[in-house]
Amino acid sequence: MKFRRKHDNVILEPRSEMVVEQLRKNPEYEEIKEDQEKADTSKSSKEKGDKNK
Amino acid sequence: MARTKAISLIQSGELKADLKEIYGYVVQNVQKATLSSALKSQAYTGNPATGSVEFKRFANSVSKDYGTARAAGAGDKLKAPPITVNLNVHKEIVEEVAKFDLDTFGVGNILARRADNHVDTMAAELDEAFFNAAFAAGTAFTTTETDLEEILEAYIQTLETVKNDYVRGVNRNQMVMVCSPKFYGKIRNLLDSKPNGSDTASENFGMFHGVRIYSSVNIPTGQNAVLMIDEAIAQPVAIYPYTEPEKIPLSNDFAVSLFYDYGTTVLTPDLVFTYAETGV
Repeated sequence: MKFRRKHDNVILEPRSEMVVEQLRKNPEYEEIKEDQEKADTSKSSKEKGDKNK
Repeated sequence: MARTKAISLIQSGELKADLKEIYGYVVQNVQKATLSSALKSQAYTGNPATGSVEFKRFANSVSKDYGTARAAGAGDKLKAPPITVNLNVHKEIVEEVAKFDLDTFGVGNILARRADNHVDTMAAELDEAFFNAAFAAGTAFTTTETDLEEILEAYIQTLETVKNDYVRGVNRNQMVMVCSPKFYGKIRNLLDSKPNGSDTASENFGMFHGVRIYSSVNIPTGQNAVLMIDEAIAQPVAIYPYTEPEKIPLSNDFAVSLFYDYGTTVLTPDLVFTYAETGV
């Protein structure tokens, strides 16, 4: 599970349940949903592919 | 390696005699300084020798409007979940040597030298366990920044701005960043490139933007650094003190041994951030 800091795109990936809970309550972070994460990954890899062309 | 042969002294037939050899010089074992003993939490209750110790962490108090407690008939309860750290790793270092070998090997204080090395070996193991725990429980940090200075500042600010039930931000003087030698070298090079950079002849640059920085060879492979507060990790150790080298019964052999038990637990996983290699 990953969280994005809204103002600067820092990504945090907690390995502790306690931290997951705390980040969910923190308005400065938003949870990255799994499908959203996949979409972001495919988008960035497509962009890289376009640049290479 | 065989001893040097004489040029013209014959031992028998055409076999040249061995020249004299001086014993007693020993190549010292080399080890980089360990950090875990200085960074770990000591604020526990109990005795490590009993098998476990307990740490407590109090949640912040909450300010409420006047009259809330009187209306509710009670104030807020204190929240301090205990964290028990078990000494569940049991280790020994046992070496033995025959008395005859001790007397004739030609190197003095063999057992004393081995005892010193045992302590170094234990310190290295504790250091590895300490950092493995940090990387197993800490939060992985990544950023889209590509400039090293910007990455470091974003990394530090991530810890600095932690706010939760237990924390309201962290002062930089409470932070410590332990880097792999490779990543430490990159920061060193960055500082060297600045007009008013630190003394480039020195190994240590000490601090970066108010945070203490160290280099360790015990950072797991593929990782750049771990950033945490002092005492974020507990590592109680029970060491059974050395006695004189003991004679092994029914023999003329002597043993030197070190026995120790330890446990490692991250007390504040919300205040430990790890940073993996990303090619920067």
